[in-house]
Amino acid sequence: MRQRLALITAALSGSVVLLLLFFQPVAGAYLALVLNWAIIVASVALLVAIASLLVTHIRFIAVGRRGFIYSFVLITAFLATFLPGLFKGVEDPGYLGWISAIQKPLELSLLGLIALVMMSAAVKLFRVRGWSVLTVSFAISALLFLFLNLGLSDWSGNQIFSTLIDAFLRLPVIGARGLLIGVALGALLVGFRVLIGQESDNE
Amino acid sequence: MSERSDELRICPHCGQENSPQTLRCIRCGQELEDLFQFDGLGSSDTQFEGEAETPLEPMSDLLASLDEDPLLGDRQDKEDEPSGGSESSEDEENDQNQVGFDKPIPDWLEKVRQRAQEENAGGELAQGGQAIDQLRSSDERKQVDAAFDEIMRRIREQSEREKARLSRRVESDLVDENGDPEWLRRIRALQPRKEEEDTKELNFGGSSQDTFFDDWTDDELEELLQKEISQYQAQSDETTENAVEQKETEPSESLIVPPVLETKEVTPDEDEDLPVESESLEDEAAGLLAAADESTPEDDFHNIPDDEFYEGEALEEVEPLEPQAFPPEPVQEEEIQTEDSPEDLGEPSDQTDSLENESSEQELTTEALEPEDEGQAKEAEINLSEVQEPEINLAETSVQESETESAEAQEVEPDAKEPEAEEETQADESLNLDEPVSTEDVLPDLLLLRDQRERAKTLSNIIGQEGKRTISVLHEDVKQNKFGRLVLALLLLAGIIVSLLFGPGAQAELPLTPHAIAFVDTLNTIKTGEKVLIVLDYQAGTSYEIEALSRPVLKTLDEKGAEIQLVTAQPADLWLGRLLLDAEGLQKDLKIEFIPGGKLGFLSLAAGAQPEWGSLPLDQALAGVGNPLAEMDQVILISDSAEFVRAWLEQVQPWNPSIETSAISTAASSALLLPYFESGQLQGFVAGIPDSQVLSLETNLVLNQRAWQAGMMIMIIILLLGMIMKADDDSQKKQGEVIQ
Amino acid sequence: MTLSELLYALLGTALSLMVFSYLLGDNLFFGIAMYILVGMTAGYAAAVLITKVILPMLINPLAELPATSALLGLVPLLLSILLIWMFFKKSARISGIALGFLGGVLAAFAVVGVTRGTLTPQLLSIVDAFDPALMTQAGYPNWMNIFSAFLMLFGVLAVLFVFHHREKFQTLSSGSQTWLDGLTGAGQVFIGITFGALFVGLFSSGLTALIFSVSQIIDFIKLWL
Repeated sequence: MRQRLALITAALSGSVVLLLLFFQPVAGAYLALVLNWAIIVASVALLVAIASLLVTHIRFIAVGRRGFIYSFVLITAFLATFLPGLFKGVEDPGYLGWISAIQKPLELSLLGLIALVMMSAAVKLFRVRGWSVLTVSFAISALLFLFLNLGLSDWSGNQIFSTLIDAFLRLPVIGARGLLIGVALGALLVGFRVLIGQESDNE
Repeated sequence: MSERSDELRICPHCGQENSPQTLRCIRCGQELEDLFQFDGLGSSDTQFEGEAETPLEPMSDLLASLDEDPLLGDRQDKEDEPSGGSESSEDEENDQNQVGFDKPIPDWLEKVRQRAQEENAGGELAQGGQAIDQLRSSDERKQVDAAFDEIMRRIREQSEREKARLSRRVESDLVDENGDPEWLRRIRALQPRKEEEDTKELNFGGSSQDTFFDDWTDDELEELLQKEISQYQAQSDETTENAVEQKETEPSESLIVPPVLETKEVTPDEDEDLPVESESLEDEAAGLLAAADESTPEDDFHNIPDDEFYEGEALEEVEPLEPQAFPPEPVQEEEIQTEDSPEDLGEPSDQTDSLENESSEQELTTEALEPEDEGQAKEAEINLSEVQEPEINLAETSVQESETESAEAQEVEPDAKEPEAEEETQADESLNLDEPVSTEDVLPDLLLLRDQRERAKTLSNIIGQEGKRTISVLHEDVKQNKFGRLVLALLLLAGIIVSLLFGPGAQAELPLTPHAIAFVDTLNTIKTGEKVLIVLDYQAGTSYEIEALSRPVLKTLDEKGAEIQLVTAQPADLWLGRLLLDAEGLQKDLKIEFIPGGKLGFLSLAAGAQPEWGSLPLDQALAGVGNPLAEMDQVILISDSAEFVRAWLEQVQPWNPSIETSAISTAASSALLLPYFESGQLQGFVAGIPDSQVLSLETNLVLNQRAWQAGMMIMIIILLLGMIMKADDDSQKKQGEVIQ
Repeated sequence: MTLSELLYALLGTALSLMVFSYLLGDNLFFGIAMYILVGMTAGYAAAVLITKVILPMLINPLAELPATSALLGLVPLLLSILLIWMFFKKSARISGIALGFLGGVLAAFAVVGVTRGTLTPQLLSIVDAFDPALMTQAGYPNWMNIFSAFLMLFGVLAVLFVFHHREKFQTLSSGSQTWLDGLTGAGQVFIGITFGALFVGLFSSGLTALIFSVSQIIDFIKLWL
C-alpha cells in the first residue's frame, strides 16, 4: 500500500511537473514553487538520513557492539563539527579553518590512496579479466595516455606526430558519447516508468 | 592368433599344423585348399571398417537381456525338460546343428541364436551355442554359467567402451581430397602436435589386439572346452554327432576377439605424452567410473550415450584389458554390408557368404571325425579352433561380444592365462613399435581432446574439494593480494618520495588539447564588466588539482575586471571556496552563495519565475542576493564531477542557451566531458594537471614534475608487468597441459 | 608558523599517515580516520542544511502566516513531517507520499533534461558531422572529415550495441552471429579506449593528490629536521 501510494504520488507529481514544463514560461512561477517544495523535502530527507546514521551508531555504543569505538569517534566528530557550526555559523573563519585542517588532508590522502590501489589493479587487470578486445584496447589506450602524460618530448613540432596525437586524443569521444547516450536512454526509460507508475521496485 | 594362423594351417581332419603354402595336410593328406579362402576373407583392417558402421545397441540389449534373464539361475532345473521347443525355433540354416539335440537349451542361448538368426549372420553364433550346449555336462554347465554371470559385469564395461571406440572408428574411413582420413583431420584440428604420439599410441592398440587374439584362444577357450568335452564324451553315446558339434562350436568360440588395447604396457619411452596424461587422469576417471558403477545398476550401463564417453572411459581403454571374449554378433556384419560401400568394406558381403560356405564345408569335412580318445578329441578341437581363425578376423566386427567369452574363459583359469598373455602382448608391442605407423589402426577414442581433459579435471577437482574447506584458501589469496598491493604501493611511494627529495625537475612538455585551448580562448573573450558566474562543486580531495587550475583563472578574471559571482550547492565548497579566495588574495569582498537543493536549486533559479502571490522559499534563502543566474554573460563550472557538469548542461543551460559555459575539472572527468565539448555545449574546459600548461602555468611549480613523471613511469611499468605476467601464466599453463 | 598552523599541520600529517596505513590492511587507525571524515562531513552538512535551508525556507516563512506564500509553505512542511514520521516508524505507509513526490519531480526533470541536454545535442552532433559543408573543402572531398564522421557514427552504434545487446549475445549461437561479434568487438575497442583514458585520468588525479599529501608530510618532517 505504501509502495502504491508512493507510486501514485510520483506519477502525479511527475505529470504535473511535465505539464508545467510544457507550458513554460506561463507556468514558471508554479514550476518554481514545486521545485522549492522539492528542495525542502530533499533537504529534510538528507537530515533524516543523517539522523538515522547517528541513531544507529548511538545504539551501537549503547549495546557495546563490537567496533563501537568507531561509532564513538563518528559521534564525537559529528558533534565537534555540528555544534560549533550551529552556534558560531558555518562561515566562521576559525570554524572553517578547523574543518579544512581535518577534512582536506583526509580526503587528499584518500584520493592518493586510490592511486596506490590502482597500481595493484593494473597488475591484476589481465590476470583477472584475461585477454580480450576490451582489456587489450584498454591497456593500449592507457599506455599511450600515460606516455603522453610523461611529457618527455614536445610533439607539436612534428606535424605528423601532432596530427596523430590529436586524433588519438579525440578517440575517447566515441566511446564516451556512446556511453552517455546509453546512460541517457536508460535514464529516460526509468523516468518514464516512474511517470507511468510502473517502477514498482523503487519507492 | 591371426598372425599365427597366417603362418600355419591346421588340418581340420587331423589337427596337424601345416605351412601356409601347403595345399594338403602333410599328415593325413586332407586337402587344405579351403583354408586359403578363409585367409582371404578378412583382413583385420577391412573388418574394422565394417565394425565401425555397426550400431551397438543390439549387443547391449542382448547383454542386458542375458543378465536379466531369470532362467540363467534356474538352468539346472530345466535341463531335464525336452528341447524340442528350441529346435522348432531354429530356422533352416541351423537345422543341421540341431540334429541330435536332446539337451534343454538355456534361454539366454536361445536368445543368442534367435538374434543370430534374425540378423542373418550365417548361423555361426547359433551353431556355436548349440555345440557348447551339447558339450556341457550338467555339473560343468552350472559352473560355467555361474562363471558367466560373474564375468558379465566386467564385460559390460569393457564392451561398452569398445562400442564407443568402434562407433567412432567409422570416421577414420572418411578420406578428404588430400587423402587424409577424418580422424587425422580431427587430430590436426584439435591436437596438431599430438598427431604422432596419438598415432603411435593407436598402433600399440593394434598390436595388442593381435596379441589378445592369440592369448585367449589358446588358453581360455581350450581349457573350457577341454573340460566340457571330456565330461561330455564320458557321458555321451553319440560321439560322432558330438564331435561334429564340437567342431561347430569351435568356430563360434574362436570368433572371440580379445580386447583391443593394452596401452598400459606401453612404456613412457614409447609414448611420452599420452601415457603421462593417462596416469594423471587415470585415477580421476577411475574414481568417477567406480562411483558410477557402484551407484548404477548393472543393466543401466547402456543408458550412457556413446557421445558422452569422456576421457575417463578413454583412459580405461588404455588400461590393460584382460583377454575376454564373447560370441560375435552377426548383425554387425549385415549392417556393414548395408551401410558401407563394398570398396570401403572390402566386400564384406562376399566375405560373409564365403564364411558361411566355409562353415558348411567344414562341417562336412569334420562330420566324419570320430575322436578315439579324449586327447584326440582335444587335439581336434584345438586344431579346429585354429583352423577357424580366419573367421575370427572377419568376426572382429563384434569385439565387445567377444570380450564376454574371453572373460568367461579367463574366469575359468585366470592365473594360468594372464602372465602368458602379458608376455605375448609385450612382445607384440615391441615388434609393432618398430613398424611404420598404421593410420588405419588409429582409434579416435584415444585422442583425449582438450575439453574432455578439462571436463575430467573439473569433475575431479569438484570431487576432490568435496568436504574440504575453501575459506582458508580465500584468505590466503587475500593475504597475497595485500602483500602485493603493499609492495606496489611502496614502489610508487618510494618513487615519489625520491623524486620530491631530488627537486622539482624540468618542465614537462604536455600536449595541448583542443578543449583546453578553447577554454583559454573563451576566457580571453571576457571583457571588463561582464558578469561571470562561477559555480563551485568540488571536494577537498580534489581541491589541490582544481585549485591549481582555478587560481590563474580567477586571477585573469580579476585582472580583466569582470564581475564575479560565486555560488555552490556543496556545503564543503563554502570553506573550500573561501580558502581559494583567501589564498589568492582576490577580491576579498566576494561572497560564496549557497544554493539549496543542488541541481534542483539551480534549476529553480534558471527556469522559475517570480510568483504574483509573493516570494518563494528560495528567495528567503537568497535574501539580498537575488537570482545569481540572471543576466550572466558566462558561466565557469569548477567541478571535480563530470556528473555535475552533465546535470548543469541538461537542466540549467537549456533555459539560458545564450550563456557560454566552460568548465574546470579534474583529469578523471576529462574523457566524459569531451562529447559535450564536441557538441558545442561546453565552450571549452581544462582538466587536471596535463591541461595546466595551457594556462601559462609552469607545471613544475604547480606540481613536482619529477614525481609526476616517476608516478606515470611506474604505472606504465606496472601495466606492462601485468601483461607480461599474464602472458607468462598462459605459457606456463600451456606447457603444463603439454606435459600432462 | 603560528601554533594553530603547527597544530593543523601536525593533525593533517597524522591523519594522512592514518589513511595510508590502509596499505598494511584495514586497521584501527584507518577506521578512525574514516569515521572522523564521515562524522565531520555529516556534522558540517547538517549544520549547513539547518542554517541555510531548513530555517530560511521552511521555518521562517511560517512567521508570515496567513500570507499566501506562508500557506504554500505548509505543503513542504507537511511532507517533511511525513518524512520525519517515517524515521520513527519505517513501516508508515503515508510516508511514501513525500518520497513519491520527490521521485516524481526528479523523474520528470530527468526525462526533460536528458532529452534536451544529452540525447538531442549528442545525436545532432553525430548527424551534423555529415554536413556537406564539412564534407568538402574547396570543392574537393575532405576525406579526414568524412572518415571522422563515419567513424563516429559507427563507433557510437557499436558501443550502444555492446551495452544493449550484451545479454542477448550470450544466448546467441556464435556460429551464425559473426557480424554481430565483429560489431561487438569494435564497440569494445572504443569502450576500452575510453576506459583507458578514464583510468589514466583517475590515476592522474590520484597521483596529484598523492604527491601533494606526501609533499605535505615531507614538509612537516623538514620542520623538525
